[in-house]
Amino acid sequence: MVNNLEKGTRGELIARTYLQEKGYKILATNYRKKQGEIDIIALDEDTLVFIEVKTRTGINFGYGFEAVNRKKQDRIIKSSYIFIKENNYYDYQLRYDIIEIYLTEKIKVNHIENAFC
Amino acid sequence: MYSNVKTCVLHGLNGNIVDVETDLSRGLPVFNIVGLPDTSIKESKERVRTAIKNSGYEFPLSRITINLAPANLKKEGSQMDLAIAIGVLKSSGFILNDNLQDMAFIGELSLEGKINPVDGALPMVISMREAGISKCILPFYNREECSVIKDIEIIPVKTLKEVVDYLNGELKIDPYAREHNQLYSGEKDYGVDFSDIKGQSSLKRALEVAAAGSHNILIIGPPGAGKTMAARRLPTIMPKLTFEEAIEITKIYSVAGLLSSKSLIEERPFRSPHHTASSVSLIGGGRIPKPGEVSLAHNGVLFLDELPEFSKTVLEVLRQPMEDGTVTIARANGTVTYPAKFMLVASMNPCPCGYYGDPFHECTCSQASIDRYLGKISNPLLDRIDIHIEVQPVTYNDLTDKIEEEKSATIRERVNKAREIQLKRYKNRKIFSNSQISNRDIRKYCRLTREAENILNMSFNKYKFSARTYNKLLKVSRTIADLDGEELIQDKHILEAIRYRTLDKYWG
Repeated sequence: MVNNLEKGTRGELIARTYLQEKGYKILATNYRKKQGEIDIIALDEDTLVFIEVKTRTGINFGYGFEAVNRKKQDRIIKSSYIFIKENNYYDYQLRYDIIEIYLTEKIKVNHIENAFC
Repeated sequence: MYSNVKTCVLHGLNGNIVDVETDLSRGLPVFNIVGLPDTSIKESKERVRTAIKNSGYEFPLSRITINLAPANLKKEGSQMDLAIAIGVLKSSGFILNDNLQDMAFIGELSLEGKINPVDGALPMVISMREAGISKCILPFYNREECSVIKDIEIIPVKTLKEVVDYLNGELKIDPYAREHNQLYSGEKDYGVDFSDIKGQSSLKRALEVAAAGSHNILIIGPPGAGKTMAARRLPTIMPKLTFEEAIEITKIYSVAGLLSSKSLIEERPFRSPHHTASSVSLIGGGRIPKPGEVSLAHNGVLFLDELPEFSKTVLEVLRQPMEDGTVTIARANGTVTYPAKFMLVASMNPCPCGYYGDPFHECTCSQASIDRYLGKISNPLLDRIDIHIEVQPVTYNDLTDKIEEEKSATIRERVNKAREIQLKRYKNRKIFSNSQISNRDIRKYCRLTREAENILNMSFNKYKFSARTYNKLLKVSRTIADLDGEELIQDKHILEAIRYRTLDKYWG
């Protein structure tokens, strides 16, 4: 049984490489504020993307995106505003994505663009 | 990026042009609609989003703000979907045509990207033309009803993609136009005919007069005398519709969503609500007021069978529309006026058992119950009914008589002739029949011979007619004279009209 924390870190690593391959510029990872935490913040050309990574070993606990409920979304949105203020990213189009990673025999990455707002 | 396209909302039968302003800006991707939209418009967000996606375009990822101007006007109806979608597509650069100001869009979107028909397309197109819009893009299924309107190009469309291609000049859609100055005038088979009614010549004559001048009529008589039978055959002798009347009727039916033929209504409506009808169903109403039976019977017949069985309050609400020819419905969401120039045809028994005054049966009702029964019809209401006619039971001889009764077609010919005289007389006056003459014009149009004048004077003093009755008498005698083709109203015409006003026997 793999430790959940380890599993999460591994998933985030996979997501990061996946995004870099797609040509995203990663600005921050595990950006943590008292309002909540954002897994990855990246730039897709001129769109500022906030990404929540969900790692699963199977679908026994439901799909990854189902775990990102309204409360979690609000936290991400609130902390994203703080990030924008701190780093002066005012003139960018915002987007919130979810990346699901399935740690099955063949690792599967599912990128949901514009998952919520 | 900003864009502005036009659409229309209905307020009763009047349309208001609405500017759909769309702005795309950077920020959190949201889709907001402001400008007093009701639920059906707020829901259009989801339809627009999905329809754009399923038509092969990209829904823009940006902060979308839609404003429906004028912002103080409450808006309702799903016909705005198309304009909102076009606004979004224009703002995100899928539509290159910059010349959208002289056209308007109406249509409801399906998730697939198809354009669904909307209610009230005809009145919307009419108001667009009045507002100076030269081109209207509307659902394919609404094209028939709107094709009657001239001076505006009707572009029928089936899908959102068609609209975009059309606006970009990649697809050519010919404006839909149809020569529609003439209404269908051929014979129609009603399945019933006046020749089915044996005897009852006075009833038939009264109905003929009523149909010729669009006068209200009350038929009173024992059960089985043929009251309902005759009234049901009234549509077969009603005069032809004029083009203007047909448009007025179609507008109302379009708003009510009752346009089944999808094209112009070419026959006079015949509405016969059951006597359990509520006042709202008769007058119209609802949160957003919809037309009721009186408006649906506009330019046609409202038939109330068994008049005293209707509740008294329901009957009394008819008074004002009968007088004004319009009905104004006030609700929190706004006040709406619908036209209601209908011809009231009512039938009733003289008492609860039905045989009061019958020469062959004995009436078993007490005087009190007869009074109560007749009392349901108030004097003000009776006063508004131009023609009162009493029918007697049919005799055996009448029923078995081999004499060929007059066919509906023959009667209709006379009625049509009388109506043509009226239309010619009231040309350009916005009235279509004698019953609609205003009190101011009554003396101008209803001129009497000296003998007729004397008879009117005498009867007025004898029967103590009300001022309204006096006017109604003149109008009815005008119609009878028109049936005879006479210019002046003669004594026999006025005498016949007086005969239709004397029901003192029942309402002493």
